[in-house]
Amino acid sequence: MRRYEALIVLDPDMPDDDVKALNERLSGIIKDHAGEIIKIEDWGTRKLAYLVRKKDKGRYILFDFVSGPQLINELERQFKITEDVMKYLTVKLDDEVDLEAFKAKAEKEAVVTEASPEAPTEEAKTETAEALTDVVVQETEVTEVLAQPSDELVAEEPASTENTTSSESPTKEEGV
Amino acid sequence: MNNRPQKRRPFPRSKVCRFCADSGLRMDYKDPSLLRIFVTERGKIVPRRISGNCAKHQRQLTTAIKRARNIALLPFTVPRR
Repeated sequence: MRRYEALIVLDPDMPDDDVKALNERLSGIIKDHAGEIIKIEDWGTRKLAYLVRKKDKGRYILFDFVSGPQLINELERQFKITEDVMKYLTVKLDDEVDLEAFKAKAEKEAVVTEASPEAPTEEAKTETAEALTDVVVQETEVTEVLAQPSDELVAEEPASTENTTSSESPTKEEGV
Repeated sequence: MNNRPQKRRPFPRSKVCRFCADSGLRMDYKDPSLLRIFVTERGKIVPRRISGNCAKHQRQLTTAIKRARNIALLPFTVPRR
């Protein structure tokens, strides 16, 4: 059994009922192939980075599941058939997942999160926020850096070619 | 002709790989806000010599960016206005 993740982009104009029906159909397919769904995430409608089918928005849905490799063929075939699926991407997260061990671990994690509600997650959030601001500051530096060397490169390249030609030409003259 | 000595100005860069420094920072194609940091305004992947990433993480980063592009979370190119 392997752990996979399938991210699909649906037509943004699709009614919610249809989305629900599609989700159920796809999870039915996963279960029929002895797969186990870990989670289904609906990210809602997001702006796309580029136009897909002349649309600039799409609804993202993420399937996280454990299954054998045969399921992926069938699942991707379904994605291709379904008109509303604009884009799909399936990624293997892990080879050799022991389903029983995984379930046990998931249960344990659930217990832990119940035991210590919210406090650790908030901490993590502030940490990531700090990291992000730090990263942004560095990013501005990087762009500045980018601007400088490009000028330098342009200035240097012609100079180096001139050097080589000038060193070549005297030898030719000697030969003559 | 051009006798100006070739000056190699030291390349200012962030020396440590950000992903090595912060082990909590995970690369994921599903997180475009993080990946955008390593992409130029035109949508190109920022080279290692500038971002300062280590080889291992740069490799992971490129696959993550390419996956994100595939699923329209990141642009392939940003056209000039």
